[in-house]
Amino acid sequence: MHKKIEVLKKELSKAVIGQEQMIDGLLIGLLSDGHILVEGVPGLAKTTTINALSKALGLESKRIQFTPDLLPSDIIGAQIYNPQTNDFGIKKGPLFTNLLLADEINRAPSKVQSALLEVMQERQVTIGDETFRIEPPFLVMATQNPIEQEGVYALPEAQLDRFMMKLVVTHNSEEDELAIMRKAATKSFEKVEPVLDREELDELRKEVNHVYVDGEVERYIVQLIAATREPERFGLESLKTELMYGASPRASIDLYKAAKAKAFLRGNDHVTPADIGFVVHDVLRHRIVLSYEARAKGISPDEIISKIIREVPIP
Amino acid sequence: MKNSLGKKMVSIFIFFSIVLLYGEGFTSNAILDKEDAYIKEPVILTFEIKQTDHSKVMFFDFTLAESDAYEFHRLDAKEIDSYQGAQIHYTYLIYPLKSGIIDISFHLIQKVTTKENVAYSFSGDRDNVKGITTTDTPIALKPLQLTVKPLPEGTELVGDFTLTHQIKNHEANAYEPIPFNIEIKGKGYPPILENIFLPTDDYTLFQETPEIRAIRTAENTYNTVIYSMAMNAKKSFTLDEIEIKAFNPTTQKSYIPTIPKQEFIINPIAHSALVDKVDSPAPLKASDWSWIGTLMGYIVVFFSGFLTAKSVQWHQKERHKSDPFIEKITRTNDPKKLLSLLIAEDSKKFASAIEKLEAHLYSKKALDLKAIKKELNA
Repeated sequence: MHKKIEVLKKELSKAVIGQEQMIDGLLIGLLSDGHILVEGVPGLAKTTTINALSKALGLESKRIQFTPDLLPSDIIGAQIYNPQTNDFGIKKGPLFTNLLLADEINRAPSKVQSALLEVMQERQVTIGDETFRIEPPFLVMATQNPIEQEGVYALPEAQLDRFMMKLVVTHNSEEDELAIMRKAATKSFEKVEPVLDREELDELRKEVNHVYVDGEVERYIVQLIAATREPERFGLESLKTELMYGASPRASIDLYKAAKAKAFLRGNDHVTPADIGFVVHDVLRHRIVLSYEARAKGISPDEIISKIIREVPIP
Repeated sequence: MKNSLGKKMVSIFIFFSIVLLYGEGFTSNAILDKEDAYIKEPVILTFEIKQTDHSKVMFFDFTLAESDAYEFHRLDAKEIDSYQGAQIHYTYLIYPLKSGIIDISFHLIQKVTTKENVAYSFSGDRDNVKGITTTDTPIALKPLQLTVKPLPEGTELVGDFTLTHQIKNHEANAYEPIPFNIEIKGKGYPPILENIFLPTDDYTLFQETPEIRAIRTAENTYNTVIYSMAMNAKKSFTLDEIEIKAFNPTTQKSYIPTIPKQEFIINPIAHSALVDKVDSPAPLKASDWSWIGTLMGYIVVFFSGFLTAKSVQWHQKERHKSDPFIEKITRTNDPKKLLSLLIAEDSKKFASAIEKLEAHLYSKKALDLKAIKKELNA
């Protein structure tokens, strides 16, 4: 089964150079029913990656550019009057897809964000008096631009919690950028071909469910999350003033699922603390709320998570 | 009486040289006020262009051709501005520079355009200048000939000049400067002389660039040239009489403006008194070791730079040594603790070491902790 992942990654590398972290994140989300929030400057191949993934898996993908004048009906759909039948028909929005790139999600007002995030959680949409189920697999990759702060609507913590992981995507290495530049200039990017079908993807998802997690490792996950809520229990008194809110139970679930998917991607049939270590920052960084004091000191959520990892005993 | 008046009238109207041209829609004529002149004697040239074809718009570019046989200055250009009837009157002052028969040549370009082109050019503004499109035709004009007579031999000035001089004192201390001004004033060819004094060892001469004031008129050039200079010497000396040979073309007579012989008494003075006590430089020493100071300065600067560069390296090493993460790694001997440290620091960066530790801890594989630490410290 792990070979299929290798084949998939190889196919994706035809269109996407570098950005292994983003590809791994997307695969983790896809294999464990999670959604991904990506923070990074424009031009980091976010759309390309989503498109390549959809082609490689034979899935449908769509992109929504969030703008301040976007309405919920623009993304979920609306009832449209049909003069021929003298009746209202349903026009489904771009949400009805498998892979959705919600670009610059923080540019749209909160009512649009809420509409999307609700669908992400419930996986169903109600238009008028009719409810539609979004067929799996359904993955939302939302992006936030960290540069611009004017005219944006920051996502509230409760909404951020619905994302399984928050990836901070940085620029490619110089070598990768050189390769991208050459390929883009000569238009020599290879065409991505479907290498897995839906059934195979479903099988992979089932395999991920079967990845074994030892009781001690499960406890380790719970302890990591608990340390964000009660740091003093783990000898982290200093974090008491730096943390306003710890991570929610959804964080434990997502860390558990993400660690399983990571172990699977690495070709393992069981989760080790190393698998947790590979995903813990991405799973927790958007779920903990720092105090004003910590923000004033310039402390980042990643630093807090690192302190917790150092102190919580590894099984 | 009638006869003599008639001759004068004829001589007024019959100019010495006339070039008359009937061009494409215009006429022109050039007139010199004399048919012969001495070298450097002023000659006035008038040139007139008159448009005869009034159906076109015409402009003219006119100038004298450069030549080493004469020099010229434009004194005036009068333009009568009437509707499609250009009429221009140029006046030039010419000084012939070579004897014999010389040709005075011209450059004339006729520029023809239309009313529409003129109107278009006016539609532009400061930031959008629109030029006038013209059809340019160079017009060949026959050169005027002028007979130039040579000057009497040795003539340095041509015109009517007076020579005056001003010497503030005739007595000074050794090496003390004696100011000396010479002024040449009058009308004629600008009296600029290369060397008024012959070179001598009796005194040292300091000369400024002569101050020249020249006003050109339709008659001649009115000049005032002032030569400012100073002399100093260590002993008394005599300045010989200065004679400048001049020629007045109007009277056709030579004359010699003169500065009489001058005696200067120089009082000897002790050398020590000559030293500038305010801004005096340090006396030269028999053996000058100042280069050692300069060399030491360079060595100090070199070593400061070298040590600064080295100190940056030392600091980097020091920082590397005192990096708390590296210190923690060095101190840790428990693989589990090391694993948590690496995950906390950067799981992606240390993925290789994490995988080795993971294999040891959870798959019971052998571990070379020292090798991992060495890899991490590198």
